[in-house]
Amino acid sequence: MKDNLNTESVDSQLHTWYRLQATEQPSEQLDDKVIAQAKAAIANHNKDNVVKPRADFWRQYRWPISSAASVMLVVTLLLVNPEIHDELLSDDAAMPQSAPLLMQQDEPAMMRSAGQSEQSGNADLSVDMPVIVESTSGPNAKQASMANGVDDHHRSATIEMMKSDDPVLAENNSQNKAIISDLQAVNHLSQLVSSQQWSEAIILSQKMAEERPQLNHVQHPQHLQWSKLLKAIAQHK
Amino acid sequence: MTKVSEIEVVDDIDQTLMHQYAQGDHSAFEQLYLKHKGPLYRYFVRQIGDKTLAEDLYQETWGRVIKAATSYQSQAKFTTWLYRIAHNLLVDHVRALKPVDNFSELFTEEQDSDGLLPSDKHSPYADAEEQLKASLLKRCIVLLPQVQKEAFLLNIEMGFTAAVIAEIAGVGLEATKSRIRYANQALRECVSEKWQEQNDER
Repeated sequence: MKDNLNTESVDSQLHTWYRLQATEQPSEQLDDKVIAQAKAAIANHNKDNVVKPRADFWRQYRWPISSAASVMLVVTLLLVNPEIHDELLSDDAAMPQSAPLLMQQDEPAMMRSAGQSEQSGNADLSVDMPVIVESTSGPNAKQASMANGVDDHHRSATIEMMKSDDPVLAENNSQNKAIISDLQAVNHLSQLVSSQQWSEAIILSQKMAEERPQLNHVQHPQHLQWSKLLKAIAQHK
Repeated sequence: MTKVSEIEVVDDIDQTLMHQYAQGDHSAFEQLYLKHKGPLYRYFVRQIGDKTLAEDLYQETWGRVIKAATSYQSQAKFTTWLYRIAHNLLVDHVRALKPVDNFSELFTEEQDSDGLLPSDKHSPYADAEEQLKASLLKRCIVLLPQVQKEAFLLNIEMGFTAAVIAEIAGVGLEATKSRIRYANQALRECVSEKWQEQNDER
């Protein structure tokens, strides 16, 4: 159907008559009110849209920059402290009991830096202390309390722990092994050798040979050091 | 250029002015206002007997236009949008008043509308006669049913097609065409009758 003004428009006579009378206009006051309203609305809108100064580089990219800085900080800490790195990567790191382990290991580390070379051997032995401290409940409580005592007691406790067939202690040992890496173990052995504590070095080397057969692999990063230490220990058997 | 395309061009200009106003150019609004104030004012005044209420609604319509200016989208023609606001306000405020429909009772679809008196434009009284008939038309418009009155005014004031009026009033196209047709017929009848009555009185 045709939809335009030809079919539905008013006829010309009505249009003419209408135009003769279509003279009503709003009053000037009404015009002024509307125009003033329009001006006020625009003024308010402009006031609301205050031009903000352009954010500088640091402010504009504050989230990416802060994230990158945080990542850099964590990576740097991990590089500076490889022990933490190893512990974080280990399975036990996620377990709640690892928290006290870390806390306890920090303590001997601080002692080591303060105690200098004289007590370095003892301090290094204390790396193993968390295991003993961990086992302060149950049948090993006595041994654990010994760990906090004099160096000799400490050493013997460590050796006893290595030899122990107690299942609870064995479990703790397995946790310890999971935490202590090959590198740490070899370093420990190296320090025993360098401090000429041969009896302990022999025991530890035997233990390591049993529990860490991977050190015998040529491709292992600590294999060379391990071989040298074994040769040195063999000369003093 | 046809009348329809003229309306489209005008609407393009209106939309441009509206966008300019939204960007802070209040002189654009003044142009827009001056262009549409007369027809919009008559749209209200002719439909509402109460002039104060008509002026309130007129001002409120412009108020809504101003308020919506910043979010105005050119999806609809400016005039369609403007009169849709006006229509909605009118419906909200006036529908409850139920305008007097005496005239609509006299008029039915079947009535013949060929009752116009011949006008003699060459007589010395032609201008006076036209003025008189114009005033009669004004009185007859008041008597139209509300929906026909609105359709007629939008058609004669703005030159809107039935389709545009249907969009503004929110009704079907055929219903709008009927309203315009009935309004034209009724007005012709009304003017003719009143003109005859006046002649008889003389």
